[in-house]
Amino acid sequence: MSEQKTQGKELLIAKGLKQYFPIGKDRFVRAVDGVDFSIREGEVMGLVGESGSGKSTIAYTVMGMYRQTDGEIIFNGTSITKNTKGRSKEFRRDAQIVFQDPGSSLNPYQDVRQILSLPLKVHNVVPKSDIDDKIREILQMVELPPDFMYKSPNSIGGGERQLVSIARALCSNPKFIILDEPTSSLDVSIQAKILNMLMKLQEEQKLTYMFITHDMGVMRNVSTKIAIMYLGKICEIAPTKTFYEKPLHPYTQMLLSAIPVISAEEEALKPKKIKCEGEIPSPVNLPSGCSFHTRCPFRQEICTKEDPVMQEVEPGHFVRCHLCQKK
Amino acid sequence: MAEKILNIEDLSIWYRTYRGYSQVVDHIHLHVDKGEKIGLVGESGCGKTTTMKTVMGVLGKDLIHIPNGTIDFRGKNVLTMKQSDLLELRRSGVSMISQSPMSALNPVFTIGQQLMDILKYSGKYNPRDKEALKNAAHEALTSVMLSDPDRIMASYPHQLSGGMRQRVCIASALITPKDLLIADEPCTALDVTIQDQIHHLLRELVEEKKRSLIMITHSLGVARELVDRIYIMYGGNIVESCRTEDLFTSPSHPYTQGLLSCVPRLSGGGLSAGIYGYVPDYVNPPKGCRFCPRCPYAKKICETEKPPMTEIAPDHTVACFRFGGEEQEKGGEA
Repeated sequence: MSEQKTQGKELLIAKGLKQYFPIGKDRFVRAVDGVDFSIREGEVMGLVGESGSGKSTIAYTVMGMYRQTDGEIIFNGTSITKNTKGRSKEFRRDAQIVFQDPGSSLNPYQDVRQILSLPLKVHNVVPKSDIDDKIREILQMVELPPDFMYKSPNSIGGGERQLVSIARALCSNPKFIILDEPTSSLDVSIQAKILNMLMKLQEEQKLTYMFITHDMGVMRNVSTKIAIMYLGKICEIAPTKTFYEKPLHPYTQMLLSAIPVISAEEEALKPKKIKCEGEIPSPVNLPSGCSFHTRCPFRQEICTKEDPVMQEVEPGHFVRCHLCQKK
Repeated sequence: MAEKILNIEDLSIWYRTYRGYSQVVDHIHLHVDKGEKIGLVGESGCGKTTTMKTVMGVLGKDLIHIPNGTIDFRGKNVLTMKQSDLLELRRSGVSMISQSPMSALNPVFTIGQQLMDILKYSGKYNPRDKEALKNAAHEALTSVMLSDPDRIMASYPHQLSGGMRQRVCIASALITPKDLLIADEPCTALDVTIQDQIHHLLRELVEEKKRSLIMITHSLGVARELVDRIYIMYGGNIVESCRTEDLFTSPSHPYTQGLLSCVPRLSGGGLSAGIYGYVPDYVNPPKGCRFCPRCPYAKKICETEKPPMTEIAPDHTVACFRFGGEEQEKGGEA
């Protein structure tokens, strides 16, 4: 969609981000295990991976729902992880999140007006008397009729519910929105509508997105750059076009070759069929060396012993694999 | 041609609700030949699962009302079967893989016990011969590519991962010889790489043992990979049925076209606008074509009359007035 829009300054930088969850004595679930990435202003970074790879944990850690085990997050030039009392109010205004399941992230006892007015009050976006007008304006932004204000989340459909949670995220005029699988619980016809809406808003409001999904087809059409996660680590980051045309990491190739597609044209784009073997290992007992070696068809001696480091193979294209580094 | 193993004729299924009858399935025709793999594709709430559950005879008479239609399975009408015949049907005729492997297995019994129970009541084994039952269960688990079947037999469902559980469900569906396997979105809860494995497995097992398969799915991509023939369902009607390759080269019903254009492509090219509107209310469904309120080509006649299934090419039928009666196709950008 917008391939060349990567000129802005870096809005969010994560350096060596780690998030461990203790389970018993000296045992941890290593949900996120040393992740580096940066998102520039106006970019849509896609975060893909299987369930249990730590995508959502990254989102929650950035938002401050967990206290990170290690590493640093820099937002808009200032480190936000130094503050031990959670995130500052400015950050909470500038960064918002849309959750996967709108059914459980909207309070069923409140109507849409109450849901949307809370962020407006907290962040003093408009004077109290103008709140209703502002709500109508925001509902219009997501193309919902103004009388939606008085409906409860239970009485509306799944797609509309997700629109309400997008509206809620927009209330505080954010710069950055994390979209945590916003369409995976919806049907394709509604999904297309919501994705269009999100992309339109991104353009109009000059938003930056971190878009989490497991649908590679969606990712191709919305993101400007893609990071792929496996077992708490990012194994490949590349601009969208490169990512689909020249995937380097064996896991990326495996994932891309497994997608069911609907036209011969797409079939041709998929990398050569790599037989999928095994399942994602437990993040408690990580495999030695490269965490993907248990499923990798190209594994070699070194992969079982040494963990590869992230390396830039061409501008903007980072891969974490022993095999790609030799070149 | 080949013998029809399942033949659904003019079937309607209504749910009883407080607001009146909810007409979830409306006059559908569907058939499955022996050894054939068919796909039933549609969005959530279009009646796919309801139809298949009725085939299994698992929806009680207090829940549903069937005003018309027949379901012939191997020449017998499932709808008028006695309870004992229904049990026989489920024992040796049809099996179903459910959508969520998490809830399909009983959490308080081990996998081994559950598999052996199926064998015990299948009538194919001597229930006292524990050794034979165990061996058969063992073999079934091996056939679905589960390594270490002994450990799995001894474990409870919560000790297994989602992919393993779904494999166990497939194993239990295929453990006794059955003619028809219904897979109800077996992979929606799983990751693509696991999904790929399960699909391979399903295809191999079905082809190898000459079973028939009905694949219920909302993903056209999955249907394209797996099945021979596709039925597209919308709002309780089957709107288009054809061979898989025809559907992707010449989709004809406006809904099919819309659905195809909605799928985000790997090759890029932006997003489509989606299909305008929402699925119909089943208690008061539109009088004519149920897709009419959302259809870009809707005409006067669509509002009042139901379009008949018209054959537009061999094995390709469409329920749309654009193809029925006088040919008056209005040019559109397909």
